[in-house]
Amino acid sequence: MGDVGRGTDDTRDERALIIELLDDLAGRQRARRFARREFRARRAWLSLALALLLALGAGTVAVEIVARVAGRPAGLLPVADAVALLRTARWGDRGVGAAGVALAAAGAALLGLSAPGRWRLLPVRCGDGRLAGGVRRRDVRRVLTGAALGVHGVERARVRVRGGAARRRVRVRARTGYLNVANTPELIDAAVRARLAGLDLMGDAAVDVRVTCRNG
Amino acid sequence: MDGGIRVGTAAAGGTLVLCAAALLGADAVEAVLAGVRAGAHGTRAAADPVLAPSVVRYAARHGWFWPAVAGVAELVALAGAVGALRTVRAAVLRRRNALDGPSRMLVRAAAIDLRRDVLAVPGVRDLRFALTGTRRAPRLALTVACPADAPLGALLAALGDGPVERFRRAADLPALAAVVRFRPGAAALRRGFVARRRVGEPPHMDIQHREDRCE
Repeated sequence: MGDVGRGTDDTRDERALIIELLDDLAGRQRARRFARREFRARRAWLSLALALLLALGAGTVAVEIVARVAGRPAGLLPVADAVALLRTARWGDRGVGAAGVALAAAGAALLGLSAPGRWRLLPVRCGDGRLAGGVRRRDVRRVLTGAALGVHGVERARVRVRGGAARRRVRVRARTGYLNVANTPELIDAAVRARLAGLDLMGDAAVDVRVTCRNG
Repeated sequence: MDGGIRVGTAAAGGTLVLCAAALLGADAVEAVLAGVRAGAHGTRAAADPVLAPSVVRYAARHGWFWPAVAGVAELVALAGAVGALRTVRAAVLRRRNALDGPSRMLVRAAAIDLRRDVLAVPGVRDLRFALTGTRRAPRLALTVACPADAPLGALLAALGDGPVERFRRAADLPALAAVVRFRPGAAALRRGFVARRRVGEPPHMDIQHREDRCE
């Protein structure tokens, strides 16, 4: 009986652990979604411009059609000129082909712009779906440059941070005053990774360090 | 949080962009296909006018054609207008709040505690904050200056569990979402146009502006 009771307790503990882990995972996913919504470029100006363009363009067309159906053309659009142009233009004309290519390019550009934009701030790791923290890319760059310059012998360092919450890449280019680089790249790598760990940004980052010495 | 507004706006914006892209893409595909067809069928198809007489005859024969086109155009125009309004509303609500009087009173009282609580968190040097959004979807935007070597994850958790949660309860805004922008290495934060107008705490809150103007 005692064994059975212990078994039940163990099962309950395991279940509680699994529920806790799943809750944690769900919280992290919510936090990630919230951070994405907050920190990714919104392209509000593009949305607004397109919405206004659609509203004005389609509204004008509708008014013109209704006016013409009612027998009193509003004259908002050069309908006669457009019809004449379309009647005289042939499918084989170079202009028609060019217009098609231009429209395809515009459509492709709009489709590209409808994809999520660049991370304006790099998100900080968080498990709360109602909380998001972020840090500017240039601040991360400055902090990591400071970490690289903190390594003994490093005279100059330049850091680039690419990517957002996923596939983030940190590229460090440093110069040492010594005649050979020895283990400076490893030291810089360790310093930068330690500082990155301190920043606790969402997602992992690949660090690429290249060091030049006085001899080139 | 402001999720309802922002998700709706993003969906509306995305749909509009996709609609525009689809319209342009459809036109382009039609033009390109026609060009290919013209190439395949030789000079006869290439010599066809873009606006074929059969299309004109079809529109003239069917009385519903132009009213239907007008209806579709009206729907597109309506969608565009709604999309524009939602985009503007979302943009405004990201900067301003639309709280009612009692909520403002609560927030005004809670804001002073929030500032004190946040500045008491180890690692916080300076703070700027603003409450935006609506009562149903409020959003607290904080900018925090901290040391360059501050552990941001721990700092964020400390802010979320402590001051932000207390503010949520004190202001009676359970749906409040908080966004923290860290400025590692900054000693103090530069005040903006709004904050320069007066000296007081909290410096970036709409609620406080009115209070300062009253004084």
